[in-house]
Amino acid sequence: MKTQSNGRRMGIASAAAVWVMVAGAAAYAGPRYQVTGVVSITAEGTNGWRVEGTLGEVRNSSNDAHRLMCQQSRTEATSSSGSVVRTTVVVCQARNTERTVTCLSTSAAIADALNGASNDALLELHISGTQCTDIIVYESSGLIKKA
Amino acid sequence: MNMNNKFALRATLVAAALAAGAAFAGSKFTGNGHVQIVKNADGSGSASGYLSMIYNMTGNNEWFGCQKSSTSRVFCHAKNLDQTVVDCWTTSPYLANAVSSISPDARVSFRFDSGGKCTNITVTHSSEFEDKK
Repeated sequence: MKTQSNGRRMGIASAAAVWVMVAGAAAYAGPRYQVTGVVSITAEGTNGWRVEGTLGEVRNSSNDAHRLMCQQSRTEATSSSGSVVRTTVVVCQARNTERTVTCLSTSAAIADALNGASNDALLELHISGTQCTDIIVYESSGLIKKA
Repeated sequence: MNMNNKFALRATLVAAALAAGAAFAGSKFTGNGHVQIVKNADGSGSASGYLSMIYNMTGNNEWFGCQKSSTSRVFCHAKNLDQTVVDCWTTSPYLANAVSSISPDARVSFRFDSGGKCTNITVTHSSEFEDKK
């Protein structure tokens, strides 16, 4: 679990996301986690990107430029010699009003990170070149539900 | 109704309209979401579907599902609008991991060989997919 005792996500720059109380409903609704810019795509290292967004907030965005997706594909086949050949492909894409970034990975560990991702999950991608180097899936009471 | 109340009502309606617009304005998947099945002459084939869209449609007699057991027995099956049914199985822990990623609104596809064994499972999570309603 990537949360600290104060409820904030670990490793997230304070400028990238904010917890907000829903106006007029503070007495009934817990705080909501909102990503600044809805889909945050920031430079990271040399020729790299860090992406953050929640599937719910992005879908509900007022701007149809916003998009965030990840796909994992696993193939298992047995060759004529009887050996098992496994192929994993992960593709993620994020788009905001400024840019679109796409990354690929053939790592089963990267694919495993997507296991359990819910409809409203927060996805944090770390990209180097065109490679997904890390995927973090965060679930929280504060994540905004798809409308 | 006095002028102040009229203004307040108008402002409320405008705010509500904007809020409604905001709720539906993000990038969306625009396909029909139905179960797609391909059956090849040798018995192999594939199926795909958008779980929440299939659920949310009315009058569509189709379904799509996958399961895995504690021993990594995987079973996937689907029926399309033509009432064609396909299924596959495997005991691969590797492919069972893909089943672990399925959420209620995911797009899921599977491929199977001529013996009915699952050879591929693909799961897509996207902000563009609607929730079950």
